[in-house]
Amino acid sequence: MRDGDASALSGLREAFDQVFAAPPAPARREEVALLRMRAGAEPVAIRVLQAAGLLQGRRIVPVPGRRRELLGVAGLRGRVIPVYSAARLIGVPETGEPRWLVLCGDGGLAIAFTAFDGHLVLPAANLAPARGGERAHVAELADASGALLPVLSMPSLVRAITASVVQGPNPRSAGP
Amino acid sequence: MNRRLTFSQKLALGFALVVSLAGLVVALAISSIREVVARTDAVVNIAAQRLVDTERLHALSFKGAADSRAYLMTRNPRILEELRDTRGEFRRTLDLLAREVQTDEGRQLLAAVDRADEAYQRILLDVLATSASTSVEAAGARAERDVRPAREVLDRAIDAFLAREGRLLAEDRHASAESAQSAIRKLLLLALAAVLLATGLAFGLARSLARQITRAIRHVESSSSELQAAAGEQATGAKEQATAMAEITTTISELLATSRQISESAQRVAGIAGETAGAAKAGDQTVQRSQDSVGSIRRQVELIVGHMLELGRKSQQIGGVLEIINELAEQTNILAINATIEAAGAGEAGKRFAVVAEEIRKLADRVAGSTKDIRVLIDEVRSAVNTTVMATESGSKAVEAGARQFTEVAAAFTLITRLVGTTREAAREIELSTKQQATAVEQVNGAVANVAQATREAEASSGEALRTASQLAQMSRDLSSLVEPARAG
Repeated sequence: MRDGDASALSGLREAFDQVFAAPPAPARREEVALLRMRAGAEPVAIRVLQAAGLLQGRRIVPVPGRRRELLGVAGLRGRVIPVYSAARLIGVPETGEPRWLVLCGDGGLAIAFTAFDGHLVLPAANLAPARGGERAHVAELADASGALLPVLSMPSLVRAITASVVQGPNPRSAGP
Repeated sequence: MNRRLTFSQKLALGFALVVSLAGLVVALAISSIREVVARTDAVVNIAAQRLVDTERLHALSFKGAADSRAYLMTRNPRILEELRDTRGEFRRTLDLLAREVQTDEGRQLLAAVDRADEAYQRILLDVLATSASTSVEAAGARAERDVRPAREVLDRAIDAFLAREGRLLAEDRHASAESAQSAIRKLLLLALAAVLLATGLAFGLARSLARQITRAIRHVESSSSELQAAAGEQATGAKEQATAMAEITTTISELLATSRQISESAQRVAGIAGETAGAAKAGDQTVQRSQDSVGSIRRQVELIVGHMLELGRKSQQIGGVLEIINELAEQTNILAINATIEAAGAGEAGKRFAVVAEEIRKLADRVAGSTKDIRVLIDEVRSAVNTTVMATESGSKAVEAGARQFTEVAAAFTLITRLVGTTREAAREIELSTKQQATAVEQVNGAVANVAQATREAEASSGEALRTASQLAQMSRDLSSLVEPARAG
């Protein structure tokens, strides 16, 4: 083992131990946790706290339906929930099979993304409201290391899905 | 035809013609002289004899008349006998003349003489026979009366024959003189013709010979000029040859020195070849040892290759384990995120759990980062292993090639040893040959010196030839002036 690797391991162990040795820190309201996802080929982000869960590799069973955003249904802990395509919801073309599911609301439905790029924590100051003209359901723009990342509003998406379900079929994606 | 005859042949032919002509003249002269002599003899011997016989006939006639008169006066029988003898002599002479006379005229004249003589004798004998019975005077008168006319007839006949013989003699004499004159004229004509022919022959021969000599002189002049030029060129060539021979001599001397140096070098080469043979043998042994070492290296390399391949397989297994760790980290990350979501849903009670979940998520992130580093390292290791395997395989191949090359080197050393032996033998042969060559070169040097001497002599001879050619040219001019003075002038 190299010296650099040994010091990194010891630093990691020390930092881990330090977290549990120190008194609980107050909640840091100024930071926002984001999940970096990809809808089609489009990189997007969602707030962690707007999601009810993140699942990988669930089998999506196609079902006939009038909505083109509906990919099918998936089994989750004994329940069958509908799965909608994030790309179709925000109006970008699908690239590949969406394998990452983000549970919404109380976990009664899921929105499928193409890829999960990681967990991101940003200061709240790095998030700015959308200026308009962006894609559908983009509520904010996150400044991640100089690049503006559109942050999707999960409640907006859920509202669009539930509203379309109530109002009937809509071949085009609903607005926020 | 004249062109085919030589000078001497022409001269001989000319002289032969002149001599033949002289011989012809001499033969003609002899023939003419013989003819003149024959005619003279005929005149002297035949005509003159005949004339003498005729005169004798005349004299016998007179003697008979005198004897008859004497008998008539004396009546001496002895005179009668003489008269008979004279008569016999007269007949013999007449017969002789009759045999010698060949012309009709002569024979007629002699026949007339014979008839006159017969008539005279008949009358005379009658007178003589009757004289015994008569007196001297009567007999004389009868004789004067009967015999005299007969005798005068006889004398006239004899005179006529004599006149003819005299005329014939004169004619023969004239013919002889004519013959002599004719012979003289013929001889003169022949001599003149001979002189003219000899003159023409001499002139023609002189012209022909002059033309021939002139042509020969021109040839000689031309040849002497060419000879002069050739002698000059030969002299120049001889000088150049002498110079070249001097250079050749110098070169041969250098060649001799070089041959000696080659001989010494060949000796050194033979020595070096011997040393090289020893070195090659030692090299062969070294190569054998190196070949053994290369075999050992090859085995070691094969072992290294095996270890490296094993290391590659282990790296692949580590990669597989790392995939599992990465998957676990990812799952842990997802779990931590979900835990964070769940903790947030739990409200205040879940805050501490949220902290744990966050730390777990961070750990999972770090583990994922570490797995990425490890993957990079493993990739590097695998790349290094692959590179090492390839390098080792290359090394193995190089070692095999080296082993083959060592085998070839060993063969080459063996070949070198053999070739060095051959080289040593060749060097010895070269040394021997070079010594022989040096000897030969010395002989050549001597020969070249002789040739150089001969060249100098040739040069001198060329000069001599040049002078001779000049003299020949001068002589041809002199000869030309002798033959053609105007041309020479």
